[in-house]
Amino acid sequence: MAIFGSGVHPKDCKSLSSGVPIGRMADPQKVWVPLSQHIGKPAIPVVSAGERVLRGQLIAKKAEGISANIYSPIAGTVQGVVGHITASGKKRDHILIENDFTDEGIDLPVREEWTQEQLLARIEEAGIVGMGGAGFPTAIKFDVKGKADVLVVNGAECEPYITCDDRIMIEYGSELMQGVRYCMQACGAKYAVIGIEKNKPEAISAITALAGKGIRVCRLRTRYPQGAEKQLVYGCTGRVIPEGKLPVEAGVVVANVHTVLSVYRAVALGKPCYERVMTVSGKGVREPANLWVKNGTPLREIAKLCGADEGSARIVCGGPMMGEAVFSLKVCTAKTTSSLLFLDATECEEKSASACIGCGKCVQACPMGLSPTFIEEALFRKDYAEAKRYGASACIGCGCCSYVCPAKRFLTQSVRLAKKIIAERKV
Amino acid sequence: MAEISNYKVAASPHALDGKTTRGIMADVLIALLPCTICGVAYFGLYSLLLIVLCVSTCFISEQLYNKIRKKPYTLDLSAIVTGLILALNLPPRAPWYIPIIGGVFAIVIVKMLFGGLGKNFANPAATARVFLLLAYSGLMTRYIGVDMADNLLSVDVVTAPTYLSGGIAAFRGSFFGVRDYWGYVLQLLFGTVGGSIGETCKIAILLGGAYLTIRKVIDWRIPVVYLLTAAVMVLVCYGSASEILLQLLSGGMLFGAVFMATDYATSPKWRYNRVLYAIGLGVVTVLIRRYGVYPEGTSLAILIMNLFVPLMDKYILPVRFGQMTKAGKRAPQVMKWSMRAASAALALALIVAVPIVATRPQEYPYVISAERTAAGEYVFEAGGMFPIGGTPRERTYRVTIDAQARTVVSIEPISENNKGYVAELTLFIGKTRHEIAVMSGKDLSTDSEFSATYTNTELRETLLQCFDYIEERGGNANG
Repeated sequence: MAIFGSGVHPKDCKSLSSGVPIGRMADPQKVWVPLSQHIGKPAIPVVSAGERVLRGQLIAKKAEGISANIYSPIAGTVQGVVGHITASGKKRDHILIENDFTDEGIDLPVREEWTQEQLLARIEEAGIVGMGGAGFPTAIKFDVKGKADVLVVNGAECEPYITCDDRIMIEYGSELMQGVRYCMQACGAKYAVIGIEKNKPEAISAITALAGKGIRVCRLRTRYPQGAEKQLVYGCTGRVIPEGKLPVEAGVVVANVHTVLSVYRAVALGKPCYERVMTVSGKGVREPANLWVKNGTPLREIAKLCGADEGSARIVCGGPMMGEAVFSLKVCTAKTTSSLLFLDATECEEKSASACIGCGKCVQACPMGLSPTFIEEALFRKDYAEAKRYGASACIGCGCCSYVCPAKRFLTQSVRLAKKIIAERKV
Repeated sequence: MAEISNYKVAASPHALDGKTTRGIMADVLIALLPCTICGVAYFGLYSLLLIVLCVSTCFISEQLYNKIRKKPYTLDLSAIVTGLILALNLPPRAPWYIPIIGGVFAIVIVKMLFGGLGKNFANPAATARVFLLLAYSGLMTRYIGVDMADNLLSVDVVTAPTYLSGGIAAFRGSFFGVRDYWGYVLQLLFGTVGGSIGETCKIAILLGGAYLTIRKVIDWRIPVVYLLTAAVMVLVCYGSASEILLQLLSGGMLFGAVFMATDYATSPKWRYNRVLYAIGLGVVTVLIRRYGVYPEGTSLAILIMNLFVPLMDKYILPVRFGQMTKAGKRAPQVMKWSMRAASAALALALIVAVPIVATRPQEYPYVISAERTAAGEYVFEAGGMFPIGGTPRERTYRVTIDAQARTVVSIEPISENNKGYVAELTLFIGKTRHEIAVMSGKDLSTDSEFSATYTNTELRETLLQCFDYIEERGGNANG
């Protein structure tokens, strides 16, 4: 097992929800399904107001280029395409559907034997995107034209609190294995490595017991960001993805555990991607849970179900290291929303930046080998070439530098900004 | 869309490490506590007064500077840390104005004028010490010995040499029964020797260093590689293995390595740059000590190496994960492996060279024969051609040394053929090796006879060789 240097070791806090079996949340009265649940262009609505839709019916078609199909998570009546806020605080188009509670559904056709092309077509058709959080359309990622020989499945789940992948590996082990085989066939990989952090012994033993020919389980050191693409590939295969290149350059395709499960559901059961498992956790939640949640469910419904304290110090969509703090529980879930955290004041600090004391902890912590403090300094001087020399363009935004900073400086944001400016101005 | 509640949003990451600037400074203060306590216990309450003066000067001058420049007050404890480190660097009987001048210099000139916390290019305490050494060299090298009972309330200055300025005359004969070399080492370790307030007790410093390392406040690489390099350099420059421990445990080297070289703002940020920096520190310190005019080199070495830090930070960068060379290969980790190799080479050199140098057969040219009598005494026939007044003249003696007390029992001349220049034998009778070793030229000179000083000096050397001969043969002097 190769280990990447540096990184940080935040308290994992996973025990809050890691023992809770995956439940299913009752369908909400109304869903606002975002048209943009993935990287790339928003999908184009194919339904209009007043139309009745079934669960699993296509409601928005993928646009040209990078995009993904969107399916109705419930049976009901389309109220129209409305503007609604997203977790990042922007107003975006959502399809509003009112539930009629008949739960009438349609599935995609299923066949016994699949060819590689058919599998890729199904993955594309089912609107599957990277469900670890990135939201990159999986069909495009898998279409590597034989240039990859390894499929790395990301079961690291290095973000604190989140346990949905852990529970999926424990409860849906055999489905997952079948999904891994479909994925291997789709991307033409010869073997698969499932990387799991050592702090999930139950998942490791469950998956190891099921791993068949060509599938290997790799126990990874518990270290954030072990689940970041480059670090994961290095940990599982010892291969290094060249800077600024995709994993396929190193002959690797990476897929999240939940993505693999979605592939299984789409291929074997004909269920398109319209729901996911979410972790609801944090000290502000009375009953932390892992739940199947329909896409487009307002966060308030989830908060009510789990007895969450709406007055929590901070409410976060995603993990505490990279997730976004939401300012309204009206925000709705998407394919990529892996968790909803209600953090109390002891779990997240309100910080104000003070002078850099030059301790160099950010330099030691950066898993990419950058020098965040010098990048920030260069950014403030508007010396973008210097920021680039210190490696700003290679930032993966993991947040380790801000995490360790004793002066509580906003290093991650500075480096991200420097990276953005460098890209825009082609420094 | 009206619902925008009081939810607090903030940029990720939302979880933060518990460490704060103030917490780190508090950790350093805790780590300095043992040194402070030892310093006050060894050198008396007057040194506590100096410490209080220095710390308060540093704190007040920083706040005054902030007030004048209309900046917010800085209550992050860093001025207190600087003040305490500087105070522990002062001689125990420095006049009251020394900590005040030093404190103002450290804070205002070295730190605040360059932009305050984290912006100073040189370590404030080290720079202030060097400044005081240049401006008040007499006062800054006036050390006193350790005597807990006498020092407690005294303000007297009874100067005592340190090992670096006066050789082994700085030591007492034995440390709780441990004589000679290991006695000296133990005295240095426990700090019962002259020196600055906080830097004599090495046990206290090591305790503080261990605390800071466990709390991950300092990078262990800096002190470890610094001392390792210094050890190898001592071996090379002094050609003696026994000198290593005496040099490393003398003066401010250990204190500087743990508390001053590791200063955040003035040490490199990347771990392998830190190794390079520490190697530089070790080399410069020993060169100053061995070939410079100052007996103490740590502060100056830290100051010199501080000046290279911005250059190292700018041009020696970590290799990024996935960084490629122009040829499309993975960029090699040159710095990482060369620094690891250098550290390993230094350690290996030390492990290999120390036993070789230490077991090099000692020459005892003045020992002619030796035997152990039944009465528990060593009887030597010792002497040879003494260079007296530039002319070699033969002098041989029968030297008797008590095996238990390790004192000179008697010295009888066997041949003193040229009349005159006769050694004053009574000078040495009843004395231990240490007492003989620390005799200075003044002790050995005599008014009665011209050039007897030469004879006395050579006889002293002869006696020391006899003692060492017993030491080396482990008391079995029969050959």
